[in-house]
Amino acid sequence: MTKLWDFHGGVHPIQNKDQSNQLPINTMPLPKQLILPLSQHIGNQAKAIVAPGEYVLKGQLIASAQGFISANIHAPSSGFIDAIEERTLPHQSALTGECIVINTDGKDQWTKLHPVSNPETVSKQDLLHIIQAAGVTGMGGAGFPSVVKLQSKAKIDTLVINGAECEPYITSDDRLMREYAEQIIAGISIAQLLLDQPRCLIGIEDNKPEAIIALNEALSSHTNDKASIEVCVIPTKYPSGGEKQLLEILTGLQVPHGGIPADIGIVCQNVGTVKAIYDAVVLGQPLITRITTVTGKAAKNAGNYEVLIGTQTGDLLDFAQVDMSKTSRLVMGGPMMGFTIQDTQTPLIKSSNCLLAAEDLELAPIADHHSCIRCGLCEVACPAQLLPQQLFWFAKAEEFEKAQDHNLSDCIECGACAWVCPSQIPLVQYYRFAKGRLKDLASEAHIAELSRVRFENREQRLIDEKLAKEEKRKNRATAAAAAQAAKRAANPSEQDPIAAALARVNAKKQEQEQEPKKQVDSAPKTHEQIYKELKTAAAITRTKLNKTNKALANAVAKDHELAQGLQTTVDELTIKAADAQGKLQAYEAKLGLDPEKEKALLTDVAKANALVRKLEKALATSLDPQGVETQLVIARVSQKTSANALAKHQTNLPSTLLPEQEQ
Amino acid sequence: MGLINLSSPHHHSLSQTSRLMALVLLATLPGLAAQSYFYGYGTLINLVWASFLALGFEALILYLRGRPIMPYLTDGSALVTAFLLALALPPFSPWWLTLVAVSFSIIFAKHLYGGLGSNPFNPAMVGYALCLISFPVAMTQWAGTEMTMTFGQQWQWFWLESVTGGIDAYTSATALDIMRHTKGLTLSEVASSNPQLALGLTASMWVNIAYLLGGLVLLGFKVFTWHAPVAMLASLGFCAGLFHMGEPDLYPSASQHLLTGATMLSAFFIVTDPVSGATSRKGKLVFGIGVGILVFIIRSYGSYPDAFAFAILLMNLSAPLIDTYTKPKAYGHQSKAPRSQGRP
Amino acid sequence: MQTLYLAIIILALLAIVFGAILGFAAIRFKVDGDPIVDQIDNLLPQTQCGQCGHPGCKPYAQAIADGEAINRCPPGGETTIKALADLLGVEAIALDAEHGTEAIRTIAYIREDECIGCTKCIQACPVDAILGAAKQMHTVIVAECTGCDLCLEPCPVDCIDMLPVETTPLSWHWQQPKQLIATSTAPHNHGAPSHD
Ligand code: SF4
Ligand code: SF4
Ligand code: SF4
Ligand code: SF4
Repeated sequence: MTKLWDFHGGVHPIQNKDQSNQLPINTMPLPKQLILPLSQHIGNQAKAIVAPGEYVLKGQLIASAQGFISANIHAPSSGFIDAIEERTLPHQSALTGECIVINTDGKDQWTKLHPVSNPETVSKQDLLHIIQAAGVTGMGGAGFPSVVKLQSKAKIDTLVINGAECEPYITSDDRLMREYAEQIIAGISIAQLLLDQPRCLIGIEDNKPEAIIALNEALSSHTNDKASIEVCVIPTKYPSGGEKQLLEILTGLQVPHGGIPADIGIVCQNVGTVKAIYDAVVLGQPLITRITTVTGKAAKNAGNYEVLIGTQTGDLLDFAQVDMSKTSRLVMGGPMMGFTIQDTQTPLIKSSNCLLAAEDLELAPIADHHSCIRCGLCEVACPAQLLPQQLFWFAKAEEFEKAQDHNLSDCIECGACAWVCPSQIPLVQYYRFAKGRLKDLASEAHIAELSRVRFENREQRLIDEKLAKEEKRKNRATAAAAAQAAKRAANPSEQDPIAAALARVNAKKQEQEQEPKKQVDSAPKTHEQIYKELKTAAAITRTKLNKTNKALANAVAKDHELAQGLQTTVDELTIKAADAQGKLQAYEAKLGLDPEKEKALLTDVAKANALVRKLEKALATSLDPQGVETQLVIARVSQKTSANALAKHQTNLPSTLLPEQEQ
Repeated sequence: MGLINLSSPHHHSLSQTSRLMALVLLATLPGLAAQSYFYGYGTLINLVWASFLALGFEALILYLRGRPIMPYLTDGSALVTAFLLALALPPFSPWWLTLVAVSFSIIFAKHLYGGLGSNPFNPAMVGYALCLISFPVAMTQWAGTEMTMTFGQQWQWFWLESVTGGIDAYTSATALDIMRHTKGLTLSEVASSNPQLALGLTASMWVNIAYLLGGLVLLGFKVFTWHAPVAMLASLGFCAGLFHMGEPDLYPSASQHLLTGATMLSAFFIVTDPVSGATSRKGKLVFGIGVGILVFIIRSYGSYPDAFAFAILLMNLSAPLIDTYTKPKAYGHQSKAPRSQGRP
Repeated sequence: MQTLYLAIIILALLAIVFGAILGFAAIRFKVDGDPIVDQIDNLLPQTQCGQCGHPGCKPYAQAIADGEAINRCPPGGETTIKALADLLGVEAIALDAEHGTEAIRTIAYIREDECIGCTKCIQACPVDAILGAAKQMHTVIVAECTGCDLCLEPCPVDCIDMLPVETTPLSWHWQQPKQLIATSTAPHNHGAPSHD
């Protein structure tokens, strides 16, 4: 038995796990549409390599990783690519991001797979490549690409497998360990192989006895003489499943500030991830499904579901018979660290381990928060050994640097402090706010530094240019003077040089005056050019008028003596602008252009589009889908008509815009 | 139903400031009972009066500051201040003394600094210290334990400071007072010469034991951590024991120090005040030790009846400094050397 | 009388000794920092917009060093004023509205099909963030634009827009929770983005 350590702090929230861990994992039927965000994790977003309309097979690569910290994305089922467009992301901000939308065809037809039945026969490089190609990312937290950890350059002596699942309510890892224990052990062997056979410790909280038994059974039939695997039962305490905390429990070591576990010879993987590694290597399947818990009292069929990545939350909630009228807070992830979502079209991604649809009184009441009474309960609870009350104080006073001095960046946002706080202060939100502002400030400072350098370079350049010009002018002057002197010396009877210069200038002026005319004569312009010139002229006069008007208003407001003069200018400009506009319109009329009509048509199209989009959205959530459907049909018709009208109007143009000879 | 957007955690222990405060109030009951048993109805009358005043002033100030009244009033902090004052003030204090103490505590020590959570000093102690300086005579009117007034008499005394029937000389100094003001005589001499002292000491001891009991209950409910009270009692006991060993007749023993005056009341109800104390656990240890030492010094060499108010206020003053020097090491900042340094 | 003299002498001696120690320490442990102008310049936002009445941040930094008020930089706003006040050991004062008000950060975008390629904006840009050549369409290098507004004025066809910097899931972050105790019964969203 490995010795266990304890970590500082921690809390014991009500577990509520039996709501969802009673039944075996249920496979969700194939949804009609899948939405796959191109960015499912920190790091670079993947790049779509399919186009709308294309047919894809289940397991086919549809977006490829860009760079080291980035992961491939595969089609979770066969079907046609509907679009690549902005959709709501599973993110606290509820902002949109680029997603590949697949309309499934129901055949669920696999692409060709390349299973490796005996991983030991394959080289390390190839194994890593297989795992990387399968798009395996961490299934627990931030969704970090797994390969990055598996090819650590440091010497790894311990592989920690995280099966703690300390968050209340979530049971997906629990069920996974019960039902796929052998696959998990096989996955661990592969990871051990890649890391040069370190010992492996599987950390499981003692509230999952069935999972512990299952894993031990699987272990007893597993033979690996090269490296040990041990199931470590740890006491139930939140957040023992936090990577840093679990490492401390199992090894007594702390990850140094700013470092990674590899610095102390440890690599940590989630149980779901090792199962995905097994699938990728032994079955040859890319990461396209995961187990997600649906729980909370609003869910009639609470339990664990095997879902395709990209399934919309709404589909899963329906399948689990969640009564949405009973809940006002839909949490993706657990109650301690999960985030709320508002849009039921939000897709599930590789790291979505839970959907919590709790009844309103089940979770923390939305209470007003009081002032901090400095009771210190938060400090006792904080697993990062911080002083949450001080951090709160600094965040509230926006003294971000002081917060940083108190190690704000070491806060893992576990929420233990907010959980115990008797004043019910949303502490974590304060920390997130402060961290966000710190990030903003850092990037602002970076931009400022760049700008300063560019500004200084520019100043220097301007000065240099000026100096160079000066120099040139001087040189030319001396050269000219010398030439003059030489000339005069050679020919003293020459007339006054200044008069000669004047004469030259005059001659040049005359020449110039004639020049524009010449141009018009020589190169007759196309309609397009003339149109553009007129347009520009109109724009310029209009702008001038606007600016003078502004200046006038300013002057009048300040009772400036220039107001009078400006008024005349404005009057003049008004006439000029009207004139230019008139000319432009006349020309447009001549060409048969009608910008007004085009503008109107464009607005029509935009309006129709917006209406359709709105109705489509409403359709998903509406209580009266039938009614919305009819409205939608009507809206689609008008969308089409307006689009047609616009197209017709635009196709009329080119013929009249063909270049033709003036007169 | 619309879905809301909130930051995690979405779960809460459901502990509440008001519940903590209510626990504190309940935990004072044994002490209150003991005090009433030995010294009569004075403390009770005082308590009701102080609570009434505290809530009134709190509401008034909240109104003047334009703050919502009910949420703050129900957090119970004003009541705690009132209770502490009523328990610390002598049972024989007249109505105006409590009025001055409570009003000063709530208005100046608490709200002028920004209300609950922002006050650098313990409000009750500020009020107490003010009275101690301004009305030293009234503040030393402790009833002799052999004297019991009826409720009516006590009531009359409370408002008029005299009692029909002429029992007006029945106030006597506390055991601490006697102990100090009889330097020159040895303690045993005092004890034999003054039968009151023996009685006073017993009363004081029982009151202290009652507070200790209440404090242990709070500790059991994890209302505060053990650090500050234990550190304080230990350092006070240590100092007293040390000096007592050297000059047993000049300095009372450790147990006498620990079980007289307001030792236990302060150790568990005032030193543990989180707002004005030190923050981290290490800080709380330092804070407690500081209070213990100061109490011993002021009791032994000062001229005030009890030392707590000043000791605690002085330590309140140094709490920010303590905080600066006792910042705990965060996770990952420990000097445990990493085993391998092979980061790419 | 004699004790009085003695006391005075001792105090005087002490004063001299401590003065000497302090003076020595000041020389011995002197920190050579940047010249003050650079320190001030480092605190300015480097938007180079000229709203302070100087042709860039550096000149304003120089002016501050020469005694000008510290509240004339609208892009920096409160934060900059506070930082400057800290650095210079003076009182932080409110932003001088004469020079403009604090606004959200924007970036210039050229409506490229309307640009006539006059190069006027290039000449105006203080940080060389606009690309283009005569009679060619111009464009703004978004990453380098400081949002100074200076290219707007000279454009003869008004085809430059200042648009607020977009929030992405990466740059998004929580706002500070709204208030301690809500006085109203409005839904509390603690500063989360609303979706209505
Ligand atoms: S738990 Fe809440 S009230 Fe207590 S010190 Fe921490 S932040 Fe303040
Ligand atoms: S959220 Fe941060 S400060 Fe709060 S307990 Fe967790 S690590 Fe500590
Ligand atoms: S106002 Fe503009 S130019 Fe002046 S200091 Fe601020 S950012 Fe720089
Ligand atoms: S000033 Fe306006 S028209 Fe001229 S180049 Fe710049 S954007 Fe184009």
